[in-house]
Amino acid sequence: MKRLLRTIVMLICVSLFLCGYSGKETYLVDEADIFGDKQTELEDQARELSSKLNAQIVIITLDTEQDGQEYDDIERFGEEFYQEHGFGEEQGGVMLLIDMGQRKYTVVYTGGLLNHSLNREIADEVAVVLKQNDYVGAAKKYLECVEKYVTDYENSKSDSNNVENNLQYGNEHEYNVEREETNPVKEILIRFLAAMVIAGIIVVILIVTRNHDAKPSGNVYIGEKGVNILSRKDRFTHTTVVTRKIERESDHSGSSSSESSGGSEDSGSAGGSF
Amino acid sequence: MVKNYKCPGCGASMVYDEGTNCMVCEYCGTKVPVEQAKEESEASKRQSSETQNIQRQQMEGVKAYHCPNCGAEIVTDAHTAATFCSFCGSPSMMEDRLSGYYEPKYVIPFQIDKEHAVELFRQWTKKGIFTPRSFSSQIQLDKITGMYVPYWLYDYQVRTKMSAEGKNIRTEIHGDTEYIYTDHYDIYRDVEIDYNQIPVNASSKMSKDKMERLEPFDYKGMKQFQMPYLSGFQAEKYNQTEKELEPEAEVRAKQFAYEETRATIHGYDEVGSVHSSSDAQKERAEYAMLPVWILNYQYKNKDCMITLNGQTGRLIGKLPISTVKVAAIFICLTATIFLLILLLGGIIG
Repeated sequence: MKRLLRTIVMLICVSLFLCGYSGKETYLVDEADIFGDKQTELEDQARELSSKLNAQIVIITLDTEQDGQEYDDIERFGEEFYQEHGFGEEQGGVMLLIDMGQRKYTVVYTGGLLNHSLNREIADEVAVVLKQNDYVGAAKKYLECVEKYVTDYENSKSDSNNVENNLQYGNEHEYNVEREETNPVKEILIRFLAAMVIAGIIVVILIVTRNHDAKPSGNVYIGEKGVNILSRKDRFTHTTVVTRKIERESDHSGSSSSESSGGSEDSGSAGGSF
Repeated sequence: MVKNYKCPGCGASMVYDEGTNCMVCEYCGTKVPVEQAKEESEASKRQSSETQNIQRQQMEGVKAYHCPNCGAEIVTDAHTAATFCSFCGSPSMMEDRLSGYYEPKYVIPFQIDKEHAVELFRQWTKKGIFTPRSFSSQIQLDKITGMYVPYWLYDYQVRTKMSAEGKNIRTEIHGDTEYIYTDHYDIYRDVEIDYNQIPVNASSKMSKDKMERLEPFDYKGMKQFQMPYLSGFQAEKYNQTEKELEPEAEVRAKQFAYEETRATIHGYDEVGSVHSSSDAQKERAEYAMLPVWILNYQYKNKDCMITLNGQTGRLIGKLPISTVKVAAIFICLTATIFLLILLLGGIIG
């Protein structure tokens, strides 16, 4: 209860501090002052990237130790912070939040710009640089990864071949989208051959059935006495039962199932310590 | 003895007219009912029996008669019962080939005259998307021949015993399990059917398959046989006896009975393991003449035949195929289907 109250108070304080700016136009807030004179440069890069991706790409640094704040889960804290400030409300966004006080970080995304795996990947790559205490490098790495992964993810979603992202959590450090190279000439040829086969079948059917002169059935010759059924038996003998397990769609594992890190597929967070 | 029917008005040969059911003189238009024509002919025969000249020559199945109209020799094979004189075109009937044991009991007179038959043939030649355009013009439709074909009409009583297995299938789903219930039934039928006048073609010259496909004939139009009906048409007497064709008739009767008995089994999703045995008893066989229009023609050096039921108008024949038309239709279909596939985004890939 105490911790919850502290979290709420912390959020209110941070919100008041940051309320001097519109959430929609925020790209970088270096509250912990870790970027020094690179702030402007990083902010410009974030703004440019936001414009390019048509989303809100944000970098926030805090020092919750100074504020006497505590939280249990940096990822949840990051998600609440993100929502509190209305980041990415229009077209979605991605936020890197670095808490220098507790030396924790989180990457939060919304609007389906990423999926959990990619988000995790970004967080891991940023963590590597953070652990080297290269905070500007970490911010640049973050921006670099967001640009690459968001672009690739967008392309893969629109691709009709539906390339699957098979990155595993923590196993891969590189994300490469493999796109099938389609040969239009080959596709047209296949379709033409299919049309020929279908046309050939239709023509054969028309030829075979063109002289269909059926013989008469026997009932035209049935006499006045007609059909006399001397005996008719329909006797039930037994019933057999066959059971079959119905396969549900969720039984098939696939990349569509959500990874850890909470949230739906369209939004999520991933973080850790550095 | 060769017979024809003379017009009481002008003495020309008379022919049977389907529309009026009378003997008609094509020269003066005199019409005489069939019965009357027969009686007059009998009377004439009695008067002129001393002057009639019959000369028969046995030449390996070929017999010669003299035309009573012009005296020319009419040469026919042993089974022709009615034909035309090659010189004067007078219809001639070989009475001795249609008398005694060879006298038919029934006849179905022609209901479709030559003009109507030619028109039906013409319409048929223009049918079919693969029929060559030149086909109808290349065939001499006027060469059609009206012929009375000999048939044996059999009455059969057939008893069929049939056993089978029936299944009804229903499905229920409980949770994530599907249950398929199959109810099994033993089926038994014992059916007795009387068949009347199953026709079997009694001339080996005519294709059995084609003659069967011309059926059925409407027996309501069947009359007691009288010679005048044949005048103006060709006719064949049977060359296969009732006994010889009995096995064929029995096969047909049993097949009909099997189909009829099988039709009494219904109400099942599946019926399998059908076993049956039949016992057929022939009750009667009668000899009849049934009307058929025939056209023999050659198309691209192939001999072909079209037949038309002279009573109902049912036409049996095989239309030729134009390879040019087949290729054209194939190309059009390919193009259309290809465009559809492209529009719908493709079936493949």
